[in-house]
Amino acid sequence: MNPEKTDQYMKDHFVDNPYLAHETRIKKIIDETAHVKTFVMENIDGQYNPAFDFIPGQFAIWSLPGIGEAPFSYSCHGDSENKEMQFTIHKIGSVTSAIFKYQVGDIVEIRGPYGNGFPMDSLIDKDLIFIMGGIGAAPLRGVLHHVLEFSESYGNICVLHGAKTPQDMVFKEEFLGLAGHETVRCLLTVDNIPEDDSWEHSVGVVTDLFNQNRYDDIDPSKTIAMICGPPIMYKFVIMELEKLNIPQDQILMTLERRMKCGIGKCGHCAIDGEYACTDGPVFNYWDAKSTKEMI
Amino acid sequence: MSTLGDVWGPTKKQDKYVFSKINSFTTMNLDYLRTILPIKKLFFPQKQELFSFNLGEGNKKTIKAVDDSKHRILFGLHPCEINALNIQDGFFMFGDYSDPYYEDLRNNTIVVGYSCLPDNNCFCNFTGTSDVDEGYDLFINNLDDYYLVFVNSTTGNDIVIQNQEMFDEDISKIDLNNYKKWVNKRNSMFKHEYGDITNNITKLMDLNYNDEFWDKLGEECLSCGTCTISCPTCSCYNVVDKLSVGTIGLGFREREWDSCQLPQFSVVAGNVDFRVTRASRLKLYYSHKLVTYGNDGPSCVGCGRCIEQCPVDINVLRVVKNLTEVDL
Ligand SMILES: Cc1cc2nc3c(=O)[nH]c(=O)nc-3n(C[C@H](O)[C@H](O)[C@H](O)COP(=O)(O)OP(=O)(O)OC[C@H]3O[C@@H](n4cnc5c(N)ncnc54)[C@H](O)[C@@H]3O)c2cc1C
Ligand code: SF4
Ligand code: SF4
Ligand code: FES
Repeated sequence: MNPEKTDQYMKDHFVDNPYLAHETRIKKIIDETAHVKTFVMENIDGQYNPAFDFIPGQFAIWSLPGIGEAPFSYSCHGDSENKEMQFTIHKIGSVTSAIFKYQVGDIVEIRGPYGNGFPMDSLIDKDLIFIMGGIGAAPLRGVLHHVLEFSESYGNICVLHGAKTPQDMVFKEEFLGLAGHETVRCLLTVDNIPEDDSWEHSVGVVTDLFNQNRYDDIDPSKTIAMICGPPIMYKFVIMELEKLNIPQDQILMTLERRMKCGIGKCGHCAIDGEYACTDGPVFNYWDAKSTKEMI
Repeated sequence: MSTLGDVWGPTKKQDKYVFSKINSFTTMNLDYLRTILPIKKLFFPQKQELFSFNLGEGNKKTIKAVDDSKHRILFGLHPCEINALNIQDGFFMFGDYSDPYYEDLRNNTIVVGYSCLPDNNCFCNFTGTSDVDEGYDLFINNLDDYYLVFVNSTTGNDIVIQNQEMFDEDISKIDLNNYKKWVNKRNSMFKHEYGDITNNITKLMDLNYNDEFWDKLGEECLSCGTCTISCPTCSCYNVVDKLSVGTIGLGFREREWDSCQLPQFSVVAGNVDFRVTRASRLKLYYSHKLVTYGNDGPSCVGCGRCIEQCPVDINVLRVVKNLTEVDL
């Protein structure tokens, strides 16, 4: 092969290659819990990285050459200038352990954005219920941030958030800070309280919070519910939402599946005829019902 | 034709056939019906390097280029194989993302199809794939005394023009009748007469989803993955990073064929498994083969490989029988 062709070939294949990630720099690392950190990423001057151009509910894939790749939801809503992205990551295995070794200023390769994201326009003027468990708070936090920033465009907002223990609750301070907010009601719960810990909120699973909430200021027909949490949570939460008569296509959830490509090719995230990475990861309950083994 | 590039075709390997690189046309065996592995292996190799990296040199990446100075010519592909290739094209190249590795290999390949007469395991009559109208450059129909050649691309046309002495452009009434006779003969040879059930298959799969026949198949299945390896329209892969032995910091990211029938396929971190049972993994396979694959309709092309190769006789026909048979 002649050299010019190689150059052009390489150029084409680096620009359009969906399997190659782009560099970004870690601007800040926030310790959320003992096992969860939020990484704030910034663009490296003069470099274009499409991963900065996202909406809440979408995700990106971190690429660590020599270790592997892993998908993470954006945990912020993105600014208009696409200058920052955040990921809130739970250390659980090989890739996430390697990520936890990074320090501020380190360069990381990230590709994205992937997936459909939340239908942000259709949330306008609606009452909103957020139901999150554990690290599932990450993808919903971006939606919440956006909604709080423009709260006059939305109705009343309920946030139901559960964690294993008070020490395991991600964004705890942020959620506690919602207390003074006029249109927001935030209920927090933990599965249990270790002896050396204190907790003034509920104890129990997240679905218990449904009984403690008031619904007099929520109109089911114009309410959108958004769920993210551990896989077993969905069924029970949906049962509660159905009791409230929230239409099935207004119950949105974002799902986790094994993902090896993020672009609909590797097949790992297939659910019946759908792909969580490209058709999702946000699905509504009406569609989920007709898709086998989705929830 | 070998002046255009490397020629690949069916060759005999013991009592089976494989697609291999042909050095002399005499080693090619066009009497074959199906090869062990489908032709996807030449577009989506069993193991393929996506890029290599050098952790020392600022993570510098290198991508191995396809040598496009000469074409590959695939000779003797049957209609089911070309139809399967078209399905793979849709999956890898069309839609929001195109896979550059597949695309390069595909664009660099000339496909010459070749007609066939079915055996007991062929059922492309039932999947609508006994004939093919796109995805090839030339298609040669064997009419015993001579060949009818269909030209489907400018590349194919160039080949014909360069070898004009071999071709006769006038198709006579006799030729047409011979072709009609051949089509009728071929159609009469199929052993499986399910008719076209694709119209009802979505509903049948849905209604049968919890039927106990799935559990029975699940109990029999060995989770060996033979069905996914040998199916011409399976395309799932895993991605792994490998470090070079000896040289610190050098390594490559590789993809390799994976199988939805293997137990680890749908496991996520924390050991949550979305497909614990073999039955649920078989349902995924058969919904992709019969209902929709890559959001684009059924993907089984009736090649019969799963019938021939599954060690415990789980295959499309058996599933369709279970889905459609009325039990009293
Ligand atoms: C759309 C989406 C959004 C996610 N968002 C977040 C988030 O915001 N915060 C967070 O902490 N986690 C999130 N996860 C889960 C996160 O991707 C897994 O925890 C992570 O892949 C674990 O990698 P590991 O190598 O550390 O774990 P290990 O258990 O060591 O992984 C072992 C192997 O399994 C693979 N694997 C395991 N789980 C997954 C998975 N879910 N997807 C792909 N490959 C997997 C890994 O690639 C690895 O090769 C999300 C997952 C998905 C699909
Ligand atoms: S499912 Fe079986 S018959 Fe159908 S294309 Fe795959 S291997 Fe061939
Ligand atoms: S269906 Fe047959 S070929 Fe496929 S995994 Fe099971 S035993 Fe193996
Ligand atoms: S992650 Fe590969 S197909 Fe969805």
